[in-house]
Amino acid sequence: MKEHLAFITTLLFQFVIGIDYDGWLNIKIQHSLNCNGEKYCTRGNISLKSIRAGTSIIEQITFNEKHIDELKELADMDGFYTIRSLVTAADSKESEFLSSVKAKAFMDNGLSDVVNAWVLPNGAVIAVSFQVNNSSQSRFPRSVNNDYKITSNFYLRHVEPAAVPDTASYIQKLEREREAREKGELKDNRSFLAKYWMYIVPIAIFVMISGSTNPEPAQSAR
Amino acid sequence: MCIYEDQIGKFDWRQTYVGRIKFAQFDTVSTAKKLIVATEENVLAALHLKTGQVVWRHVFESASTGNIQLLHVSDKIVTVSGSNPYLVRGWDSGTGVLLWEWSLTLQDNDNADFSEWWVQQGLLVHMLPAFNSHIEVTMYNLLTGHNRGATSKLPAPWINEGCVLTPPFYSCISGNVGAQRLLSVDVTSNAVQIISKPLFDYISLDIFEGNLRPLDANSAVPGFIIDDKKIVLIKNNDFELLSVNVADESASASIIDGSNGALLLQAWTDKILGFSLIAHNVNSGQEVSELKCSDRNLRIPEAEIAAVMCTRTAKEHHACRILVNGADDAIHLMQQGGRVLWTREEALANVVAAEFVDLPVSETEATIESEFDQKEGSIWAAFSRRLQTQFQQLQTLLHSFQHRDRMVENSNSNNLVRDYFNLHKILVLVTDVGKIIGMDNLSGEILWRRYEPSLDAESVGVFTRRTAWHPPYDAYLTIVGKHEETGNGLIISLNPINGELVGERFLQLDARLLQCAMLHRADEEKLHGLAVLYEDENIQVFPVSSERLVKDMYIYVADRETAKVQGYALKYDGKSAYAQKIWSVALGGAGAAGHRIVAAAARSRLERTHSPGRALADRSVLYKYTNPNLVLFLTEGPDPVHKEVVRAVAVDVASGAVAAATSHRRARALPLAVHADNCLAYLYRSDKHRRLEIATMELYEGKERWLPAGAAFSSFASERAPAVQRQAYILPAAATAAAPTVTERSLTDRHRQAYNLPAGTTAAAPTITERSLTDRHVLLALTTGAIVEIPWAFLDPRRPAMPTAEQREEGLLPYVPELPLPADAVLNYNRTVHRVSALYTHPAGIESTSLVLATGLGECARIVRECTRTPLASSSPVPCSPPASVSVCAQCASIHVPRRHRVHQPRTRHRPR
Repeated sequence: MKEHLAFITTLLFQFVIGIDYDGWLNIKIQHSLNCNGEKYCTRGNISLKSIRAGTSIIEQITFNEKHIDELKELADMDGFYTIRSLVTAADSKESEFLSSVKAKAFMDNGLSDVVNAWVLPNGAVIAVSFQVNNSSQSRFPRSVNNDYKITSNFYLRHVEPAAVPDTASYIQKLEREREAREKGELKDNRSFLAKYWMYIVPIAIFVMISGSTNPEPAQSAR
Repeated sequence: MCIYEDQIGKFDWRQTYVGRIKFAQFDTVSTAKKLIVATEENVLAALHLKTGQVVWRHVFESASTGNIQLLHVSDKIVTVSGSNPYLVRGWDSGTGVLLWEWSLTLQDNDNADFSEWWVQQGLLVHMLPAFNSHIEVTMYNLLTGHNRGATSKLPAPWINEGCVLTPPFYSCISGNVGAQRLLSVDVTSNAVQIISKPLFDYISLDIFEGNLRPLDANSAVPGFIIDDKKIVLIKNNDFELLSVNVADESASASIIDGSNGALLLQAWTDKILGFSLIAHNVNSGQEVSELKCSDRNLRIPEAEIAAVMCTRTAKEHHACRILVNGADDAIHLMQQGGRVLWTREEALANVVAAEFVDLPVSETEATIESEFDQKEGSIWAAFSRRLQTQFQQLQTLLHSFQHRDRMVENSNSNNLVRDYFNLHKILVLVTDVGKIIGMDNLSGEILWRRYEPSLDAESVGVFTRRTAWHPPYDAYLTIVGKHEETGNGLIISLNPINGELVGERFLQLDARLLQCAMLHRADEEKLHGLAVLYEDENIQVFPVSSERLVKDMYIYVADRETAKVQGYALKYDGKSAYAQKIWSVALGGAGAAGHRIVAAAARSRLERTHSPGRALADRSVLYKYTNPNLVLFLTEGPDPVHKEVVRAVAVDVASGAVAAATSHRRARALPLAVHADNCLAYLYRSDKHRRLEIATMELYEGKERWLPAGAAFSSFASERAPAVQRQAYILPAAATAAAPTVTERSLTDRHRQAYNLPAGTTAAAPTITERSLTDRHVLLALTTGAIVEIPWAFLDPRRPAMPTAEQREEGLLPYVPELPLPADAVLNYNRTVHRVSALYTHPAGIESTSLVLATGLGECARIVRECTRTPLASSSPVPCSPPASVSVCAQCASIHVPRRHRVHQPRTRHRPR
């Protein structure tokens, strides 16, 4: 385990040297499975060269039988598989986030989870949450030399700037409507009939009715 | 919203309060006798002497600029308010009209807080003591503020913090231990005359503790009490020790001008003997028996005489009016002999929590319910039961004929039953001072009251653990707060119908609490357990037998100052319940300091989701993201680039997943957030545009359902984040300009540069109805004293700028940035409610009706009816077609008729079964 940590720190140092200021991010993932008595031990690491680009490199350990046994134990009592993430960024100190998934759901979904990290516009992280991938077709991964691979999908989510009352476009819209109204009186390019059919039709009907009734009294007069 | 003129007060009531009394004086000059009071809430008011109702009232600023320093009542009322600069104002006592005003700024700002003020012979005297050095006295013309001569400095190296002022004398105990002297000086006299006497003339120095307090209630003769034992008056430039001793250590004493010589009046409350009042003649030392009173049943904690007025009657009897102020903020006006004329519960000016509680069904209805409850049984059993119950009904009918008179007497208690539409409820109000009050929501009448001095109600939680829907069990309500001194948890359980303690009764816990919650599963007695989380992350469940019911329960703890939120899962392992920390987020951003949570809005637990989506014009459905565990957190804090930012984060508090998050630049948050169904709204003040804005969000799953219809939502089985619709609206300037009274207007003019206008909106709440079929409205309480309702259709984030034909068919309004606040949207029409601190809404038994309670300097309860909209997702949407006014009025009428025939309703309802 120590070798693993050392590997990660060297990796980290390489990143520090190679990354520009505006935003690298490193998330250390720790869990409490098979930790030899300690509360938390390393599960893996997610590192981003640039927050803006959002491309991440995920490195995680593979689970062995011991991990699986402990996970099964948790699942039997409907317990939580808790993950601690330690986030370091260019200009902030390490901060800790906790997140949990139901151990049973994690097992059922073939040791795959979804990691969401919410980042503020200034680059600070407000939450790292783990959730199980709820796809029904995933199967429990087959062991390769007694190793089980965990699959994690990492998404970086940005806290977006909020909507502001859009007065400018509303005023523009009003202006447009006003202009349209002013111009509209001159530019009514409908045909004469289309415009005044409501006057013509009653007159026509009236003429037709009076035309058909008029001859009768004339005949009776004779 | 619409009502006819004759409906005023039918569906609403308003009570006006003034707050805890600071100064009180009787207005004896004007023809209509009044009581003039100035309060801790910065209110100046005149109370009617016979009824105790507010004749007129002025609400000053709630900040220190409105603090009232002096109240003087002669033919005019004079107040000094503010804290450097001070404002001296004169008021007409009959009408409360402002007559004159001038301001006063002290050069020495640091010591201005020690200022003392009083009025003497048409002059305003300002005294500023400099401890161990001198006294500065300045006199001003009361009407103009013209300074008559310069400030005079009296050398007085003997003054200290323990000195008391009994105008115009300033008295101290000074000197070395064992050789203390009692010193007093008339600070207004031209020639400095210091009265100095050794203290052992008056009190034995062996037991002296050094306590000096002035007499209360504008004592007619200046005087003070030494060590809660001896009363010393100042007469003719000399001390005079009274032969009458202080009756009780906590007694409040005052000297009044009686018919034959001055009277000493003392009032106190004993734990066993209750309230006592005695009077002595100052000269003779004899007791005046006609004023004496001792009442075991009258409980006035830490009674204090606030004002006294005595007049002589023809037979040389004393006719006194004594205003007594208690530690529970209630004021009582008594006459001689201790008869209470009226009582005002001023604690209600500071309500911190309120809960609507359902009433139990009436006895007849309960028997009908039980009759039809028993479903099994043969046809003969049912027939005999029917005969039996009808015989019982006949009996009660005959009984009621016989005891008709007695029925009328008991009608008060009999009325506390649920009505057909479940509009009648009991309001349980928890006040800041620790008084718990049960109130009838239809009349506003106080049904019961309970004073708990050890309850720190700052962040109190009220839980209805059992409603009255489960006879024979009584309703059960629990209040969880802090202990005033230790800060440990405190649980008070009571029956909300009659205010009697039940269950845990009054329980002091041994540790501080982090959080408390009600279990969602009830035990056999239909009682929901109460889980409390201690600071050491242990949990305890009340009652212990409910511990096994802890399952699938999640609670969160949000730290207001650090903006960190943590979630716990509560579990039961077969032996005991425990809490497991499962998630944590830092809403302020990792490592960012200064961010704090302003508001957290969760869905009301009474709310239901009626329709799973919104029907669109093309017959497809936009499915809502209805996560019952979603809580909207509003944070604010500094930002290096954008000065101040406001963030709104919607967190699933079971799993800790963030559902949506936005941030506003250059804005400051108001603690107002509304959350109902999939709709979120919150207010903030835009610093850039200097206006109040309301941002709204709606969460949607999309056009396809994530879960099959009817499937239960689980926070732990969904990893998808909802689509968020966002929009922001401007609240009109009319809402932000606050000038409800004369005083506020004059002040805002005066200090336009430095004075920030108060936030235009003080409280917000969504309306709730029984089945959520009705359109949702958002209620906003404005500083103008109006409570306006805004239909959600106006706040809809999907309002398009240029609506297409489909959107128009769906019924979306075109986007207009400024929200309309029409006058007919004001719920409380012309009954303004000042300084609304919170709005509470509760569904009634009838759909389209919501009960609203606004608390502040005036309680206001109201029944709101909304225009109904047919449920969506069943067919194409039908917009709110009839004009709102027509439908509302029609509903009002339809409600009123059945109410009158309430007695017959249940039977006709149950017969067909």
